[in-house]
Amino acid sequence: MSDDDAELLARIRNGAADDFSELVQRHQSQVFAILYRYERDRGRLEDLAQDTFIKAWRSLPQFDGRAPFAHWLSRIAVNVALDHLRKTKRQRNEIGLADLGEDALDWLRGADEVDSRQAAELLAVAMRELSPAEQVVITMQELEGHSIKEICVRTGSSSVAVRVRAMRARQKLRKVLERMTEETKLK
Amino acid sequence: MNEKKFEQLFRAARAEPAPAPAQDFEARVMRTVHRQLAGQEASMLEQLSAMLPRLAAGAAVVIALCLATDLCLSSFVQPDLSAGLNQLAEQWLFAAK
Repeated sequence: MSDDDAELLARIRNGAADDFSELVQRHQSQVFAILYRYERDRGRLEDLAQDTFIKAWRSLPQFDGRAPFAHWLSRIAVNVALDHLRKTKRQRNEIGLADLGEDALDWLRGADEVDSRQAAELLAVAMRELSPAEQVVITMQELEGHSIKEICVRTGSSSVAVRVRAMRARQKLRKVLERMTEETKLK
Repeated sequence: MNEKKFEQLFRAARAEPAPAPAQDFEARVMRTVHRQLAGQEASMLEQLSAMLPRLAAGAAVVIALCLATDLCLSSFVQPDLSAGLNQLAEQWLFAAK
């Protein structure tokens, strides 16, 4: 944990609740970056980020300071994202080609390039067919670049479970993207 | 879909920046924190007020027990209750006189 965070946390624990705003300012970009991988709607993203900070606020007495505060906070953010995916899973497990832009459809038809926004949207749509736990693992591994060990720490899952989920998620994603390619070519 | 194309998709998606938090995001979080703090204080008061009738009843029972014990003891020492009460009054209630 950075010394600055430790000092700030000590002040908050001693009753300076207003100092929590500085902690929010320091870590809000990190929290938004994590949650944006799971929720692309701006309003819902802000709600999830707020949930993350409020849960962190309530759990501060349990934070023992052994790990950096940023790691602890990112674990809370991942849990908030997982809960959100579980809640919304039933509403959006169908593939929505209509949700995609023309660039993404062109790339599926065989174009060489795809921009970052279109690629992220395409992945978000394809990931709807994955389970929430698989979505979290593949996102952390492929989009955030975390190792299996880091994913275990941040999700609280075993190494075997993470490896199996990552493998299944890749297989499922590949199949979904192949199906989307077929559908796009037929259009 | 071949592996190269699959990896290309991840690589491109990885590069997408997350939107910046709104200007008032931190203020919004702090408003909720303050609301929760106020809620905690209110709930402590509610707990205290819920306990008050029990505390009052408990205190009344203790006072009644003390009086009864005192009366019993004094009746053993003094068979005459009124004399005992007089003595009690002289000793305790009007001791300052």
